[in-house]
Amino acid sequence: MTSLEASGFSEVIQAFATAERASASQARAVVERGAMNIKRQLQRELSDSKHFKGVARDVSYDVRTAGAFGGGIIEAEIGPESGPGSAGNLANVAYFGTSRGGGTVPDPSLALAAEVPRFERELGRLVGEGL
Amino acid sequence: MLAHIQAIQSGLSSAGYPVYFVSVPSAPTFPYVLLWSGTGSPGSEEPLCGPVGDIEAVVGVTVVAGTPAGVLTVQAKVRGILSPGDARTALTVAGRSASLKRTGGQTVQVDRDVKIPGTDTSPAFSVDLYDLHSTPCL
Repeated sequence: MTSLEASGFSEVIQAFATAERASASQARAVVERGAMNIKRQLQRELSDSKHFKGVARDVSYDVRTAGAFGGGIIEAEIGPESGPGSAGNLANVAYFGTSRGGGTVPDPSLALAAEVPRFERELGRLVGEGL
Repeated sequence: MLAHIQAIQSGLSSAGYPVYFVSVPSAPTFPYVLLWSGTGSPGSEEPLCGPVGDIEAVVGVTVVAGTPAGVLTVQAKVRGILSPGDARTALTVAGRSASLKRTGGQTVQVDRDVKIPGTDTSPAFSVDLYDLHSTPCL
């Protein structure tokens, strides 16, 4: 009886572990898809700008996974990259303006807000499949 | 949207600084406050029936002063008027229930492309973003 229970637990633990690995990779895919959607919206908005369309090509995203003790964080950073000679250096002016004029490209947080319902729906579907 | 910008200008008038909207005159009086925004979008909440007339917008509030310290001083007064403690705060607009909440801000920077008229000094500025929600009064 004891061995049966132990065997049963092992199988359950193995099943959870397998599901967790699968769901972690699927969750990363959901985050990555969301990051891509936001990136595309930021690029569209910058491309529509007469003065800042060159910044659009420097918009990128980076997805990172960190975790320990069975828990994990999946995060994405999306936005124009800055650096020597990069058009992305102008992004701050595009979004927030200067002392003489405001930003002329929509606030990037709006692209994030637009993605939230899709992201929540996809994540909800993933959680639903795992239960 | 214009009525909301005018309400913000009116609210800030007690601070005693010039408040410009979108464009700044060639020789502005320092320090000053620059408001900028889009035209506003319909609310994110779906109406149960018919048009509702909600407005949602991001309003940029750029504070410009002769020094970075001056920016911080003026910005504190502006925040205290528009969204004390970053709380959602009522904005008086006739016929509407409107409110503002500060949602973020940028670091103080010196605008080296600009000189304060008659000086060799570049002004400093910082941007705060406010979330505007407005719905018609029933």
